Amino acid sequence: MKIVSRWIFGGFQKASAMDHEAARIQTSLGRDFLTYLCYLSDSRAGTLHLDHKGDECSVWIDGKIVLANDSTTPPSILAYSGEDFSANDLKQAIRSGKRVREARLRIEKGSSAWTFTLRADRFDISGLKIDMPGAPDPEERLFGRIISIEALNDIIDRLYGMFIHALHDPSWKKRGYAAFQTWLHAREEG
Amino acid sequence: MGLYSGTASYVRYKIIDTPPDQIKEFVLQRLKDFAFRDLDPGSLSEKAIGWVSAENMASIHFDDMHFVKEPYLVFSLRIDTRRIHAMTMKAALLREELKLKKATGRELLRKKEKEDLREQVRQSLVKKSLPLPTVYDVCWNYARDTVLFFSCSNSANDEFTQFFYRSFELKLMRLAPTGLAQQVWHEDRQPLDLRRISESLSYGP
Repeated sequence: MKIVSRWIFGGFQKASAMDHEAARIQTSLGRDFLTYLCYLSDSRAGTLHLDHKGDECSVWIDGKIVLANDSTTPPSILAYSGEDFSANDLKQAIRSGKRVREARLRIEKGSSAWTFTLRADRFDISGLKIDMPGAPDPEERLFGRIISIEALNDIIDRLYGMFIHALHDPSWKKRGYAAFQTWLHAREEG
Repeated sequence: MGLYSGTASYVRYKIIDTPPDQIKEFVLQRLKDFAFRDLDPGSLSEKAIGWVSAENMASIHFDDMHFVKEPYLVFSLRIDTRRIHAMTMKAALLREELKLKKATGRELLRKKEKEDLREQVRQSLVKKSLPLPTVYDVCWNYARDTVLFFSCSNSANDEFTQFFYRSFELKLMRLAPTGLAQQVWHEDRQPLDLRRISESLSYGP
């Protein structure tokens, strides 16, 4: 009887550890992506290339960002809102081990613009404002909104794809990571 | 907070099972089968769940293809719940306990009596309480097998994924960081190592 109990308990422990690791990877990927996006936006004056053919968009933090480090007890959380934070504040937080947990972003592409909050851990999108001219026909308005949402999802997919491919690349540690570290330790004047 | 107006909040899903070929007819039939039904006023049910028209939460008659907006299928999930406020429950229970103490002439009630009384009070309050409806828009792109659910609430998303599976027998995968990584990975020759990526922004001190 004891052996069975131990075996069951052992099985439970193993499954739980796997779940924990999957959750860690999920959280880490999401937060690293948002952190990477902030780094690219700041180091490239907001303009990000979506492919090698010149398709681009601009990405800005729109007045709200939350950074967190869950490895400390209790987790260390830092939230900035409004105009009272700079790139130096973000770099300081990232250097201390925090990653971006959620951010209010503004993305512009061509004549379209989207403002929304992206939560890193599950990629929920909330408070999305869709800047589009009002159409008098409800059906037309609905299609306009769906197309706008799909276009935003497409941009997020492309930005995330860029992140996944960049960090998976064998040259990441020597080149990409080195550039990230250079940005992280550069202090901006003003 | 929905698809039709105002700011939008949503969660993205990918359908991981293969939907049937006659997708619109299939969805129409399942929307009919799993349409929302009002809670019976005299019943003890605390929750009703089902599909309604996205244009009108009172409309449950899926007798045409009005929900098809090529290549999207647009409808809503309605969940009505009867909730009893904790203080309402407490006040009613204390009142009934006093009545029972007076009737039996005892100062203290037995544990079993208290439990039975609590259940009776709960049932009587459930019958009296009005259901509170909540409606969440759903936008299914059947050309890409993706679904948008317009709420970020964890409990609403749990209800949605379970009810979607019950209705259409199609499993949904949330496009969260891990799931989306599989979608955007285009290197056929190289397996995607998510653990490696998850550690690549935090090397050393």
